[in-house]
Amino acid sequence: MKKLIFIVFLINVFYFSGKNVFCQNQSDIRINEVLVFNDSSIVDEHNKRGPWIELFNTAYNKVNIGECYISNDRNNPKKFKIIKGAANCYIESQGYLLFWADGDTSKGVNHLNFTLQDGDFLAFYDADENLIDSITLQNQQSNVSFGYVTDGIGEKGILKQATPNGTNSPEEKITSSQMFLKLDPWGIGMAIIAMSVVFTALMFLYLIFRQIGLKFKSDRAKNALIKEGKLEEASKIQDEADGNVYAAIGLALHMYTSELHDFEEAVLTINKVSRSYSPWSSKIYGLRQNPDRK
Amino acid sequence: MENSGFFSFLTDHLGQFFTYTAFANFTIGHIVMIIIGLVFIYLAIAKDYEPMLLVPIGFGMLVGNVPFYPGLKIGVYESGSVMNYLYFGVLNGIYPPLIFLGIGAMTDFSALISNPKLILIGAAAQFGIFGAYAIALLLGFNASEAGAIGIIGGADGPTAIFLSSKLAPELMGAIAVSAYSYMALVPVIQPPIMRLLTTHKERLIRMKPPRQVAKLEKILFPIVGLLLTTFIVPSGMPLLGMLFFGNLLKESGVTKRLADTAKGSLIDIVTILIGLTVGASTQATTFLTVKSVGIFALGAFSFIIATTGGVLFVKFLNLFLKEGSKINPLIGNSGVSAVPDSARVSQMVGLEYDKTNHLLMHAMGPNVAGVIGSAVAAGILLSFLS
Repeated sequence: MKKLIFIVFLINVFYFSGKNVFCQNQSDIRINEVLVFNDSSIVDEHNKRGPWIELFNTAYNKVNIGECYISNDRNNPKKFKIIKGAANCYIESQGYLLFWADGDTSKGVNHLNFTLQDGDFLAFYDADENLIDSITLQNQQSNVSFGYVTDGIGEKGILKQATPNGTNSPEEKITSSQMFLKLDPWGIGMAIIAMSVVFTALMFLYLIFRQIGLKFKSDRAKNALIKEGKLEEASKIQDEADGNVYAAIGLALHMYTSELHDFEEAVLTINKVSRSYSPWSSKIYGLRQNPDRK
Repeated sequence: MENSGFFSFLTDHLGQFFTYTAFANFTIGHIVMIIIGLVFIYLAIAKDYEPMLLVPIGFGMLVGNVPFYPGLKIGVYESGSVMNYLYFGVLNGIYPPLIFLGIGAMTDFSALISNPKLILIGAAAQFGIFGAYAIALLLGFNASEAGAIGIIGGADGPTAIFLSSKLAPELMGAIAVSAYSYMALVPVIQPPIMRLLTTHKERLIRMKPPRQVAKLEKILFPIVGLLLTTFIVPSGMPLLGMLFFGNLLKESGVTKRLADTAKGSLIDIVTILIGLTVGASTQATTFLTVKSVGIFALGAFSFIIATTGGVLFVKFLNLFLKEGSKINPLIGNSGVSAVPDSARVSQMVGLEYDKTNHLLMHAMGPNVAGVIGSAVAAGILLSFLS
C-alpha cells in the first residue's frame, strides 16, 4: 500500500512539475505580428501591398508547419491549409515566416485565400486542427501592426513599428552574459552560485553512493550469513584485499611482462596435418552465429 | 618574336605561380606559429608530454600556418575547404562529446565508488574555473569570453573546446592550445603547490585500501550519475550523457564490442580530427593576438587555483575525519581532471616522502570526479552565459 502511495505521489510530482515542459513542434508556432492596413509597409514578390501575417517559431529547432491551418473564421478552422512539402512549410529555430492575406492563392504558396479586416479573428491550427494561437484584430490603423510585444511570448498589443520578418522588440537586446556582467562585475556571484551547484550535484552523488556502498560491503553479507548460522559459507567470503595482495599482484604482473621475450630456445618442426578438415571450408567461420541463449 | 612571347609567357606564369606559394604570403606570425607547432611536436616525441594530443595539435599548427593565397578554399576558416568541413565538428561541439564517450568507456569509477567522499575533491578543484573567470573579467574580457577562458581550469581539453565553441568561438584555438599545454605541464605546475600547502606529517598519511566494488554498483553509477547531474545541470548533458553512456557500455558487460569501439577506434579517430583541426585553427592571422597571450597567462592561474583548491579542501575535510580515515592531501591536486596525469603526480610526490605509500589508486577517485565536476561546471557556465 505504501509503495502504491509512493508511486502515485511520484506520478503527481512528474505531472505537475512537467506542466511547463516545452515540446518543440507545431505548438511552438505563434502569430507574432499582423498588419491589416498596409499602405506603406513592405510589398510582396509581385510588388503589391496587402495585409500580412507573420508566424514565429519559438522553438530551438526547425518546425514543419505543413498541413497546419490559418483561418479567420472560428467556425472553419480549415480555411487555409499550408501545403505539405512546400518551400514555405518550414520555419527555422527562432525564425519568422510571412503570409499575405490578399485572398489570391494563385500568387504563391504563402498567399492566403482570405483577406483581413478590422475586427477579424485570426487563428493558427496544427495539423490535427488544435488551436495553437489566435488573435483578435480590433481598432487596427494604417501601417500600424499588432502582435506580441516580445516575440512569441507575453502580451499582445499595438507595436511601435511594423517589423515583417524581424523581431518585434528591435531595441538592442541585452544578452544573458551582458546581464550577468552588469550584476556581477567581479565574478564572485558566479563563483558562489556555480560552486554551490557543482558541490550540490556531486554531494548528491556522494550521498547516494555512500548508501549504496554500505549496502554492498562484503562484511555485511558475511555478518548476515553468520547470523543465519551459515558459518562455512561466511568463511568463504573474502575480506577486502590489503596492500600486500595488491603488491603481490603488481609484482607478478611486472615479472610476467619483463620476462616475456620474443626469442624462444626451441626447435621448430613442421608436421603435415593429416586431417582432411580445413577451417577454410567450415561454415562455422562463414556464417553469423545465432545468439547463445544461456 | 615568338620566342620572346613564349619567354614572357613562362616568366609571367612563373611569377603568377610564385604569388600562390607560401613564400610570397608568409608573415612573421606564420613563422612564430610554425615554431610553436614544432615545439609541441618536440615535447610530445622527445619528452613524452601528452603525445596523443600534442602531436596532432602540433602538426595541425604546421598545417594551419602554411601561408596561402586566400580564396582557394584551403584554409580552415575558408568555407568549403576540406579543413573547414573537418573543423565543423569542433565549431559545433560534435567532437568533444564523442571523446567523452570514449573516456567513459575506458574509465573505471571503482576508486570513486569505493570511497565516495573523494567525489567532493573533484568538486573543490573546480575553483580554478571560477577563479580564472573572475581574473579574466578583471582583465577586461567580456563574461562569455571569461567563462570560456575559465574552463581551462577544468583541465579537460574536450570540455574546454565544447564550451569555448559555444561561448567564444573566436578564442577557441587559444583556449584549446592553452588547456592542452597546461595539461601536459601538470607534472611541472602541481608539485611545488602541493609541497607548499602540506606539512611533512600530512604527506605521510596512509589511506585505507579501497574496498572491492560490486558489479551492480558499477552499473548503477553511470545511470544514477547521469540522472543526478543532468537533472541539476541539463546543459551539461552532451558531455555528461556521453561520459556515462560510455561507462555503462563498459560496465554492463554485455556491450563489449561497443565499449571497445568507443574506447578504441572511435576515440582515436575523433582525437585525430579534433587535434589536427584545433591545431590548424591557430592560423597566425587569427591566433597571434594580445588576447591569446592573456589566455595563456590565465590558463596558468586557473591550474594553480584549481590545484590549491583541491589540496586545501582535503585539509579542510580532514578536520572532520577520524584518525585512520583521513585523506592524504597530496591527492587533492588530482581533482584537476587531467586524467591520469594529475593522479600520477599525486603518486610521484607521495613516493618522494614514503616509498611504500602508493597514492595512485586513491588519486584516481578525485581525478575521475574532476571530469564529472568540470563537465557540470561547463554546463553551468553555458546556461548562464550563452
